[in-house]
Amino acid sequence: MTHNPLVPINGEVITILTESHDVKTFQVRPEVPMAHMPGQCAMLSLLGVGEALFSITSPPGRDYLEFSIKRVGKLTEALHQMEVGHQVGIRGPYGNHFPVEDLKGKRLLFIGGGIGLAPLRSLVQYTLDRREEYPDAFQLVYGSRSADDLLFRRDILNQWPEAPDFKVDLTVDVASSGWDGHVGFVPAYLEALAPSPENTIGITCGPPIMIKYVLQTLEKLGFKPNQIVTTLEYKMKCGVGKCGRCNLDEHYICKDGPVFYLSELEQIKCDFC
Amino acid sequence: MMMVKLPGYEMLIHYLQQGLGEKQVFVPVSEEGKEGHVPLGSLNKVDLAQMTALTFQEKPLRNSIKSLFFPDTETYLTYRKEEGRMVMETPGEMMSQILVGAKACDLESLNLIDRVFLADPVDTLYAEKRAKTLILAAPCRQQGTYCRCESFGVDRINPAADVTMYQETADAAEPLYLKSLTPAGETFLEEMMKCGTEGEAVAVTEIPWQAVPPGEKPLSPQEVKDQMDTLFEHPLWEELAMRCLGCATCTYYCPTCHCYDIRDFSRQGQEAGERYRTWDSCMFTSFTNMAGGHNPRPHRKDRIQNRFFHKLNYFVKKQGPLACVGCGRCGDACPVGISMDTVLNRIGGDRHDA
Repeated sequence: MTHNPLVPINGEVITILTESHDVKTFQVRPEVPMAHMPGQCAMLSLLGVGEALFSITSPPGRDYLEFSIKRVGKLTEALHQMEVGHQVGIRGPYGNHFPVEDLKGKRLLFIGGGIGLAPLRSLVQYTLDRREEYPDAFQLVYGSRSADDLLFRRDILNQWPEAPDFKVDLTVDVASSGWDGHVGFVPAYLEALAPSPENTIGITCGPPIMIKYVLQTLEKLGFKPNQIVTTLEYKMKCGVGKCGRCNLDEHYICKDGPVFYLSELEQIKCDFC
Repeated sequence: MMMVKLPGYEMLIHYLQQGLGEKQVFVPVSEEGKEGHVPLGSLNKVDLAQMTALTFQEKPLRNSIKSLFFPDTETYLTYRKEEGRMVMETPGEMMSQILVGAKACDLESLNLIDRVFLADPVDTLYAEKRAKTLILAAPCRQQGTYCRCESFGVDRINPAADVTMYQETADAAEPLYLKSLTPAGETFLEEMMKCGTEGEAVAVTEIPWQAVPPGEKPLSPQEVKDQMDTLFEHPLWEELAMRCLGCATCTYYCPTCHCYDIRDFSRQGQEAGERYRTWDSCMFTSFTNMAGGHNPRPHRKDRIQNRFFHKLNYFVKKQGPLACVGCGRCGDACPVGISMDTVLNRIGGDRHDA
């Protein structure tokens, strides 16, 4: 009998970075290497606590996988208590990935909100690693609740703005002392920035309400549904299209998604988009 | 193909009892109104009259056979910490099973679950039980009073099994005819006769059994799917949600529902424990409620709509057939009388229900 896909393998936590008061990034080295593509996810588990699906935020080609995890529930609380050297259960990678072939020769517009930057980061880094295939302009519009909640500061403040032809536009929902950047919600900021849809693909991830309005804003800016890509999140248990809870119309987000073009979502009986 | 005539049901049970050390045998039993397949070895006393009646009744048992292939709770991983490392173990091979008295509708429901669980990556827990279960089915002479198998295209006369069982009437003293349909079924019958079981090989023509041909035209999955597409925004779902209690009884009795949860059980301060899967239901808020509080299906209307759309629309789009075999259990068990018919009648134009 072949291997039960629900059984995880061991992975070792090799680095932990604190991103904000409630987000940490964990570098996990699985005991058997796992090859993934940007946008894919993996199941992390702590035996005795539980298991959940997280997007892989690191680009392919590293000997570890990175997961940026917000502390919101029982499992994520326990994950936040981990220290370097601890073991986690890991299985995957699951799902489809960002359409990296379609993005070649296109200007890339990334729009992220909060922890939603995690899956986009894998794609940003993947394309930066292959700039000869993705030579056109990059733009990131990224927002969070407050300046303290901006994640991946090393990337958004240092590494990415220094990359050639890469514009980073940051915004926060609520102003605070020490923040002299833009204040306002991501969709409104996006509309004000008015990036051109010409030869551009917009790729977005964030809280469901943000995705909803970003999709509308992009269309208002002239982006066609086949120029808009998003990645969705539902509660998931099996990760392999069987346990039934992450369906959107006939699709299982864990297996057929999580990445969809808006042109695909428009054909789907969608609960929130 | 092989055909065998035994003097009665008793001889089959007697033979199965001899092999209980090597095989798990499930037989139909009703106890205080609870109908289902239970291990033969667990019975203190075999009530042959009841077993025969349940086998040859023209409707399925109240509890479907899905739990023999997809148990309501199933541990697939045990773990313990040894010298600082987590050691994981998976269960060993299961014992072979024999299922006696399955009905065509339930067997069709397994074919539907196969499309999900046997698709890549294969659900090995389910696949092992499918591969290691020999099925003795009993056809239905006619469609039961509350059954809709014919509407859902189930061939109640020719169940997809290893062996089919026939009796002229559902009387334990009547001769029992067994016909093999697969090589595994033939081997079973050969071995049974080799063991000196009272009975004889006979010709197919000798079975004193006549079925009533199907009287209803099967629904077209495509047509039902298309009709459902026109009902997505319909007030029907809100109306049903006002009646529905959200108890999920329908999903537990449904032979095609296969949603599950994965949970952990730990002992000794989390140093050892089990990870198991357990039936879950799309009728519960927790089914889709995410850590952090977002729920894509927050209202009962969303959940009941998703349940019927899954059976009558989404499954058709993804797999081809309707995800219903017309067994009628959901409507039978529902405390407020919501059934597949409630929605199908609405598709057909009825306005009185719901």
